[in-house]
Amino acid sequence: MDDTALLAAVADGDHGAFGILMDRHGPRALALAVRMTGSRQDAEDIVQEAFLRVWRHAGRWDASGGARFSTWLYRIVLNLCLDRRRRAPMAPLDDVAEPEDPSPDGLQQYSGEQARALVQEALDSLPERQRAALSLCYFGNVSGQDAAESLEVSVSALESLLVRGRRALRTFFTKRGLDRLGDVL
Amino acid sequence: MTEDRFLDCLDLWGSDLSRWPAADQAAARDLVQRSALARDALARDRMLEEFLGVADPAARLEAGSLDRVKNAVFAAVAAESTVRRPVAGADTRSPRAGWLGLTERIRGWFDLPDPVAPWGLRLASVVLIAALLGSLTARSITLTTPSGTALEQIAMATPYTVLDVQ
Repeated sequence: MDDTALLAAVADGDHGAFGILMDRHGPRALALAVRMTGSRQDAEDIVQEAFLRVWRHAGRWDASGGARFSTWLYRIVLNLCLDRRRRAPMAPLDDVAEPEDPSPDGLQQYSGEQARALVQEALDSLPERQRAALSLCYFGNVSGQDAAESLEVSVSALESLLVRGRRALRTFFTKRGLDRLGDVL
Repeated sequence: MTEDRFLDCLDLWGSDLSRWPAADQAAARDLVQRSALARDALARDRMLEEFLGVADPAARLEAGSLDRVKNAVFAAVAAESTVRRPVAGADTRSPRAGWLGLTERIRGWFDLPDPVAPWGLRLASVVLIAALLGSLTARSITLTTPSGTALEQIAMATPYTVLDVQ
């Protein structure tokens, strides 16, 4: 059963169809949310709220224009992520951790959770829309067209976001010893 | 393909040359063979992408994350359903009792809109009914007094006094 048929069933109150939709799209929505927020708890809360909105508004879904459910879901998730970050208070400077060793050998110390924290720090350093574009296309393997629709921008604007985002990531890791990345892989 | 064009494509499409536009793939592979700059840039980005893949923050998610989300969503849906979506087989009687409840049920069978749902219509309905009742009441008083209006009957029933004549 495709997403459109499942959504029609959800609009009629079918819990089984709703469960299938969540199984099918939940993991990617969670991954997108955790890359955007950096917090597993926030990601779970956001995806929960996103699926509740799907349940409430499933009857309004119109796939006649070739729209995809995943695009709609990602848009909801992204908007919720951006709302949450805007509402979140800024951390006092005293609470911000000292930057890691920026020497060329600095990356050698990263592994496991430290490496994930470093990548999250790199993503957090990007402007919101660049981070969203990279999270969708680079990590999430979402097509350019779908990512552009989720972000409500043109494909060329999305490509611009991707280029600037990749360059910013490269700069971030270069400052932390990108040339020695191979040592920690 | 120039080196600048190669670096632009690398920024846009990533280090997996098979994901580049078909028209650029062969030229890119040819340039990598000839240009040390292109080769180094490609190797550097492959390393970066591999690191990002290994250290994807999404790995922080736990196996139970999706189950927790689903359970919370279904719990919220169930809570909403008791208010908004009556469960099949459950008592569906409306709070309104008697014939008002019956009219609502009939309206539900034929999918008819609520005729007095907007507040303006409700107000108009109340005014109309009040005017109708007022009119009927006045008419009934007039009709039940065969020799004049109610005021005339009251005036006639009051005896004249000397003071009245003066």
